[in-house]
Amino acid sequence: MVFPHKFTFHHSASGRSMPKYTIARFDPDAGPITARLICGFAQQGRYTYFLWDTVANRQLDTASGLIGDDEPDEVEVPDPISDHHMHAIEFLGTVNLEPPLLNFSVVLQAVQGGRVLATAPARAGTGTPHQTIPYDLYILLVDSSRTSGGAA
Amino acid sequence: MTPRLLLAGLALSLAVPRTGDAQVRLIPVGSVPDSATVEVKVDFAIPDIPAMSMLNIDQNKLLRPATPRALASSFSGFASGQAFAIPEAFALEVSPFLLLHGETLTRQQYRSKVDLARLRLSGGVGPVAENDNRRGVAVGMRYTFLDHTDPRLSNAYRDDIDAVLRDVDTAIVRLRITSGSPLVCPPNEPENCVERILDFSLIAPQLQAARDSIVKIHERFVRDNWNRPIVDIAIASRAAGTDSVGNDLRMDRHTVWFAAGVPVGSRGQLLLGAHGGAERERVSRAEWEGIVGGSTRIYFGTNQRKLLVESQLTGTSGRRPELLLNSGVEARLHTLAWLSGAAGATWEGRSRPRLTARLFFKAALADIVP
Repeated sequence: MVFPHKFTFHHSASGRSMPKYTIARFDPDAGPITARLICGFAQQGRYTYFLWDTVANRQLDTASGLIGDDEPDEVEVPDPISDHHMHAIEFLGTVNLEPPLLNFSVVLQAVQGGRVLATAPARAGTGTPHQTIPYDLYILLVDSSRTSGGAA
Repeated sequence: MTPRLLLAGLALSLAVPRTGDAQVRLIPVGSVPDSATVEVKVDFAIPDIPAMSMLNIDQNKLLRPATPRALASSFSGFASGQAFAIPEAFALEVSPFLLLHGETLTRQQYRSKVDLARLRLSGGVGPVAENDNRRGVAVGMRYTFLDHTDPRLSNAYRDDIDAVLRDVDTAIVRLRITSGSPLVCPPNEPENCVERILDFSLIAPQLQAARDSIVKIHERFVRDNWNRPIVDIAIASRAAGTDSVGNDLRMDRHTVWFAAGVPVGSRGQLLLGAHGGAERERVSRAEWEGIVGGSTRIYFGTNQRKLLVESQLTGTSGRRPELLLNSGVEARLHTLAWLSGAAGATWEGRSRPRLTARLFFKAALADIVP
């Protein structure tokens, strides 16, 4: 059974450890935010999207879909954008590794106005074909006008 | 299985003369449904890695990088301090399109650009033959024009897999909802959140069950689509040196392969194959020897009964053309027993045909003996 590593460690220039989770700093006036999932190597899978209020620990929005159909694997975060400070977008689900491929790559991006604000990747080589790989990716949305500095 | 039946089978297999046995290889284009043991003599196989077929390289020396990072990593293994040393034997196979785009290539993009993904390039360095230590270099290309056996292009296959994944997803979502938000943060302190990482080992049985179901779906797809249309072409060339270091490299072999398969009804397949090439017996010689051949096979059958008829015409410069005709049948007599037969003839030039006939009785004792 393969459980991929979900996060990479980040270090700032000063050497101070940064949070392992991904933070996207958005402009409240730059238009809608889209959460986009990219599943590479032409693999098939499923996703469930959640929007969470991380302070109140409350679920705000959800959707689900199939990776590999003709529909884009993305969800637009509901308006108003300025309300999403300290909210987290999450995509979780499974990927099916089709033989003969042994690698998989699932990436969650937060995109605003065509600009990728942040990327949370899950990549691994499994060593064996025919694997059902679970993944869980999330990005914390932070209003750039309310805080300064930190990871991007 | 009674001893009498076993003896009868043994007697049958010994009673029929065996003459002119050619090599026996299983069917390469598509793949015949399980337990296909009817003898085939014509080789339609297009080498999976054309460059590798030109050299004597062990399968474990093959590198198949899927990303540019993996490609760079493959070559970094050749570095030794400041020096860069090519190993004695290695082969590399890549699909340029998949190498460049694979990591971000979605299923939709794959389906719309599958023609680009089907080009595969290969190269290798190694001994030119098993008992010949001269070192050679080979390059090759394989292109699949048409492949209706690719499950990634099938909507029905996708829907079957999706039905299985849906169950696992339900379990994962339940885990998350039970656990709550993946990040729990103090107000306005994005750097100080606590992560709630899901423990996927809690759904290990569901993941294993999904994997098992998907393997069965895949096997069923292969079984139901083995005879769908497929067209493949490959070319490869080799330069051989005069010694084990690879000095004085000169081209000494070029080969091209072609194979096409089309369904005959729901249970049959017609295969057409061709190959040709030129080869020098010794690198030092100027003369090239040419070889060209064409072959056909029609195969029809189920797991219970199978029939094949095949032919091959081969011409080699300086020799008489050779014609081979072969046919075979197989019938399942019992859950654990098969009877199969093959008959064929080979003509070289205008010589008298060399006849071949074989009859087999096969018992699946392995299934009942622990």
